Amino acid sequence: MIITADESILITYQGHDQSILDKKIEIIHQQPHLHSDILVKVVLFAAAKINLQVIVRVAQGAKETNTFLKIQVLLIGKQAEAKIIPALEIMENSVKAGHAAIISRINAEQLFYLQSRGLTLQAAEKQIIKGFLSDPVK
Amino acid sequence: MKKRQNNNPNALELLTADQKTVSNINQDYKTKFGFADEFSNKIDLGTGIDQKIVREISELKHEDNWMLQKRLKAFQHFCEAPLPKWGADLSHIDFQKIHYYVKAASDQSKTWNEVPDTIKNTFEKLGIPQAERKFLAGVATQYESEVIYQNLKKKWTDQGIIFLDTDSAYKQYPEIFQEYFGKIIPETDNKFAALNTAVWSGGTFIYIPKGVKLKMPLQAYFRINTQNMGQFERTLIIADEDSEIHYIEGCTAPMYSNDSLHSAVVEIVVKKNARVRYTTLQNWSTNVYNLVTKRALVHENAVMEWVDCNLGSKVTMKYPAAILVGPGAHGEILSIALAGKGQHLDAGAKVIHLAPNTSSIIHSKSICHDGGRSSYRGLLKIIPGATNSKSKIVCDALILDDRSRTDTYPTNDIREKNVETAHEASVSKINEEQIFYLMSRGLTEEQANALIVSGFIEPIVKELPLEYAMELNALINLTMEGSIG
Repeated sequence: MIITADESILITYQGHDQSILDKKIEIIHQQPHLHSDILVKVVLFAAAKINLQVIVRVAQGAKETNTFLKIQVLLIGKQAEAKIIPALEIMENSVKAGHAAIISRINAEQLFYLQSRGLTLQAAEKQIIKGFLSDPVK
Repeated sequence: MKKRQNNNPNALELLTADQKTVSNINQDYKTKFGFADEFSNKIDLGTGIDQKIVREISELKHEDNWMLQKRLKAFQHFCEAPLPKWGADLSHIDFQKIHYYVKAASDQSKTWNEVPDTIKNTFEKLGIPQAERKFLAGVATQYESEVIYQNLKKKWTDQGIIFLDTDSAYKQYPEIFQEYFGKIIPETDNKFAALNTAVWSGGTFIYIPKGVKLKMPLQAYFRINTQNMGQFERTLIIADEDSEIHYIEGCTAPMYSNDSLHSAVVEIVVKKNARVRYTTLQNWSTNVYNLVTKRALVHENAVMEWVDCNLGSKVTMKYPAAILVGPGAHGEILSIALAGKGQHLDAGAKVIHLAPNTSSIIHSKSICHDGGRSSYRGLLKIIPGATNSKSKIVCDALILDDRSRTDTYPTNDIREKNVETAHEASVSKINEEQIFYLMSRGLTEEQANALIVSGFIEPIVKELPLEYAMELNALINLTMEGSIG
């Protein structure tokens, strides 16, 4: 994907059962002065697996680029597996580029809180996942 | 001398105290310190590698059959394994033009005049003593370090510490040696580990017994003789339960080598509750391919720390690894890479969590300037069952001009849901406002740049012993000379 304007990109993925996703995404900055925000949200249930490589490439000449890539993975299933490679290739010096990747499970305290308010475990999990995925849409 | 040693454990003070001994050491070196002066026994098997060379090396070292078999098996694997398809370009290495075994001081044939001017200038500016310069440039053996080594050796032996070059350890402690050699990095691990296993020579062997905590760092510098100046050195460190050790290899001053390939293997075993820190300062001259395999096996509640500073070499591919096999094990990797003109430093880290409650931290700082390329390449792997594992990876990069390039390739392979991992990376150029501010205070642009770079790597430099940290900063100032962003 070549960035041609200031962009916010959101990619979400849910993996169920035995599903396996093998994907490579390339995000390329060629023009100067562009800003991009890339957010990838992944939820993995059961024994779902993901093998995801996201490369942000800032080519020579793409001066004053400002880009940030964030990958968040929520592991729900016991056998869920995630292999995440957030790569940066920077060939220009006057840029700002960053990335972050967080792989985590559902926060036990949040679950406890929701359950204490009368939700069942399943309902509480569902709420948290819903919140996780819809958060950036707002 | 013995009395002085007991009152005075500080090596630097010993150095001054022993100046007198050093001055006439060349005359009675052999008799007084028991070192065989092997300068005349120069053995050079020439360039190129085949099975015959591997056999000859083994024969020259009077090795047992198991080691010969291991070497041959490794050579077989070396021939079959392809060059890595990722990372730096290695296709220019000509394996038939490299000296695989040169015994003792053949470098002596080199003269001071052959050492490039750039390296001489660096020595000058770092203020390295005349005697050391020749040694560092590979044109002379350093006798002073041997003196200190002899003094310290007794103290270590009293505590049961074994600190030898790997060849001697193989002969003197065959049981320990055979138990650990090649167990963490088998000969079939990768092409360069295989090459090292086939032709290894020299390196460091350390064994720290149970409960011994060594306060002063062990330094390869103290033990250096021509034998472990080799390019295929093999290091083996075993820290028994509850022990503690800090080992430092390398030197901030540039190491000059005629040969263009350095491929070392470092294996470390950290047993229950032990703690090992391994500090590397790498500053090979910029004609050297530095392809090193380093790996530590970390047992229950033990701590392994790699501190890795890469400044020199043409190409470096080095990824210190910590394999956390015991519950509660902790691995930490701090690395600096400074890539200048014509350099490609592909450095990184590898952590594999195999047990529950393990934790790891990776902190990488890379700087590129003057057309250099620096990469961070890392692997974090957590297997199913390694519950409650925690890992944090931070990699920061600084680009100083528009001819340079930086990459990060972190792989996070997580197969257990009950874990916490976080990864961040940032790439930036030097902040112009900061430069402007410093210049308004009277610094030149060059000085301002150097100051900011020093600040950028400070969190890692402060982990180094003082004298190394000072030298590293001096060296960075020097490298940055003439590079304006």
